[in-house]
Amino acid sequence: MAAHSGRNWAGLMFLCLLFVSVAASSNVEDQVGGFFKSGHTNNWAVLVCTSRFWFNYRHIANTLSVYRSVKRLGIPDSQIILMLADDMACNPRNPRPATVFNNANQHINVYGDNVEVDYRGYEVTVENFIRVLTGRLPPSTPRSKRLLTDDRSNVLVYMTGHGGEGFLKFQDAEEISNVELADAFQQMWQKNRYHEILFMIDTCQAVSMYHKFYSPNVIGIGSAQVGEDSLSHHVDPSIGVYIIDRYTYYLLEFLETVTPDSKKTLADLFRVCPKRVCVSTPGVRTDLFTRDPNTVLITDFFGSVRNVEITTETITLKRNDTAQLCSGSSCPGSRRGKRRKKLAYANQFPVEAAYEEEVTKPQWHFPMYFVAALSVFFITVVSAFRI
Amino acid sequence: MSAEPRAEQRPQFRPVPKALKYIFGLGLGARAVLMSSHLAGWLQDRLELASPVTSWTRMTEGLSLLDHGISPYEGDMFHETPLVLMLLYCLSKIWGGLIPIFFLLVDLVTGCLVHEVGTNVCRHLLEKQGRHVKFYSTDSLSLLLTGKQLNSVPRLMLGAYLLNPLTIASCAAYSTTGLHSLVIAGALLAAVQGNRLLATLATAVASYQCVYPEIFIIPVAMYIAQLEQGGRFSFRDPDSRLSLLQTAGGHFAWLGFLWALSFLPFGSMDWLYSTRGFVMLAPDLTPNMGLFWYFFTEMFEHFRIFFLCVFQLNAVFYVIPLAVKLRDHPMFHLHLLVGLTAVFKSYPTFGDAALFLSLLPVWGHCFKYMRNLFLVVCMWLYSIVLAPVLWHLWIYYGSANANFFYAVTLAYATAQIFLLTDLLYAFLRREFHLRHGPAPKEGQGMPILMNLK
Repeated sequence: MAAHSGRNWAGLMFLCLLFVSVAASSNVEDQVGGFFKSGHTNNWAVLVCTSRFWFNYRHIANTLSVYRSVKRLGIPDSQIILMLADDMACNPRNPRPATVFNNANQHINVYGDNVEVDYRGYEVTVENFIRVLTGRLPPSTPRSKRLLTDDRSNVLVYMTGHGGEGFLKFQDAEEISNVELADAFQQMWQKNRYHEILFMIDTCQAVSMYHKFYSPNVIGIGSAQVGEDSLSHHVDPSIGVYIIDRYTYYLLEFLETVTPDSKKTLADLFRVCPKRVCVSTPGVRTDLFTRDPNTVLITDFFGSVRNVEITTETITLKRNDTAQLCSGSSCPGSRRGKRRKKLAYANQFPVEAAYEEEVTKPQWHFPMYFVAALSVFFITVVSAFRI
Repeated sequence: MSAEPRAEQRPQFRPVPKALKYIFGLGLGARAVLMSSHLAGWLQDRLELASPVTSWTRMTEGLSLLDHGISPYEGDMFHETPLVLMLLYCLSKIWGGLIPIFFLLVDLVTGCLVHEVGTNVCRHLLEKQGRHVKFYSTDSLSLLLTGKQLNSVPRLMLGAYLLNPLTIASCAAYSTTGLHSLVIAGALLAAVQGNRLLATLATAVASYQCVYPEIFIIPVAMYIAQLEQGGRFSFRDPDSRLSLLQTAGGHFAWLGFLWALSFLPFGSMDWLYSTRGFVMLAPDLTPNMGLFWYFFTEMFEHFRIFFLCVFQLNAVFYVIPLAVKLRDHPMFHLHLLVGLTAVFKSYPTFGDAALFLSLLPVWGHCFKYMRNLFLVVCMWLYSIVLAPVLWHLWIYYGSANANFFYAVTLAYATAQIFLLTDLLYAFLRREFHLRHGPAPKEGQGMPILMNLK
């Protein structure tokens, strides 16, 4: 009787172990499978603040706060395009120079040594923004100002400023319309410049900006419906202006709880800032998005989670001494017998050569006939007055 | 028995009076001190003293281009006449230190010429008064000129030229305005002496050097015709007309001579476009003390020729109405023209106006009828002081703008114009009082108020 029960227990144990191992293996597979479900390999962010002047401090603070979160979650500066239309940190009206705060308690300085602004001041124009998105920049544009995305890039586009129905104001001088923005995204799609886009906009009547989108794999989140104003959160009396907008304030509160390995999904993001705290009603557009937002991780857009493939093959790298250490004629394979000219620095000021050959003698002399004519003239004059 | 005639034929050198020695010494000393100070470099670039035509910087550029065998007139930088260029080239080749001595000499000779102009014009005024005294009213004895009154005029003129801070600064800046003043003073002297050959040569040299003295021919021709014809001068008289034509012909003949001479060094007439063409077309619109630049910077190209004609006509046109009004007073006309060209020329400097100022003492007898003297003096002083200040504010500090500077230029021009019109008014009024007594009354015994219409 005891032997039978022992065998039963072992069998049960074995079964349990099998079950656990199967379950465990399926968990790993799920995990591994989860790596490849999202389909993107790199993350980019385009963060745009379109307002200038001191009283629009909150828009700069909005953008810088999102920048901070995005960097914290792993997107490197080389993959963030930060466009700020004005400089609040060094504004003469800033009572705390070189700082930008998004909270009256001034806990976090969102402007520090580690902020890389790519487009600043008057460079933030509609033209530059669309050129950045579509990649049609002049050849002299440096890499830090280019959006070098490919068809496996997830792009977060965050815009803030003053907007209206169907447009967003840039710099108090021009505006971008929702049609232009939709066309820009379509150009990106046609040039395979994105895998998925998360478009967030915090302005008045924000949702009108994503109404015209027609490209696939785009999610739009707006902070206010058409006809509603997106309001600012609070004023900092020591700085003197409103320093953050409501939607972004609650967005930040939410993002501060997100870590790089967080499992929070876009569905949680859509619930940020309900009407009772935001006063305006945020809107969402997911009809162009192929995946279910409930399964999309926040870090798919806000973080930069890199997929790593582990391989078990080994590769041996050959030591390449000769290529690194030889130079000139000592390299094997170079032409023998060719005498190399001794190299020297070019003369920095070639004009010196001209100075060295001083004008020792003038190259122009009085022509003889001129001297003769002059003397004739003088003689004529003198004789005319002697008479 | 042959000793006495020879002694008479030897030229008599008058001893130089003490006052003149002091004036010469002080004037030349001030110039020498300023030239050798560190301010000389700053003065050379001052736009009030050196225009694109007269600037020393451009002259050195032209001389060095000549050294390299390139004609300075090929570019757009050098605008002085070839003969002056040749002269300075010779001097610079002999010894570099001759240049300051040259400019000192130029001012010295100009001062002497102005002095001689003073003596000759005073003598001419006395002679004319002697001839016309029979037309004057008996009450105007007090207004007549006396030799004693006019004794100090040449000294005053010399002092007014040599001790004028504008000419001192202009000389220290090595500006060829001094040379321009020299030839104009020469023209004035030759004109008053009445010798047609000399007068036409002098006006030809003056108009060769600075373009605007071409208009001097008219008063000079009238003066010479009046001298020749005496009281029978009239524009309708064929003899008078012949005389006028002869003077004009002589002027253009001498001018042609000078142009032919200038053709020879480079074998081309390029210099004509660079000198005359530059002054007449005024292409350089860098700010200066003139009236042209501000208008022409804002003008549409379409209208440029029209406005150029208007401005240049404005500079020369006044000779005609003045010739009609002042037909009996060609010397005064000539002196007024010196002042008019100093205001309205395309690139004036302080030196041009200073020459006119030094001619004023000879008309000192008119000053008591001048009404705006205080205003004119104040405006002169303000504009001379404020011009460099507002230039500095505009260009260096950026807190003023072109309007400020041009306003000062306008004030400067207005001061000169007020001076000219006031002088003309005073002169004509004095003539009127000479003929009608110092306090003329109309029929009912009320005093007449004089106005210049």
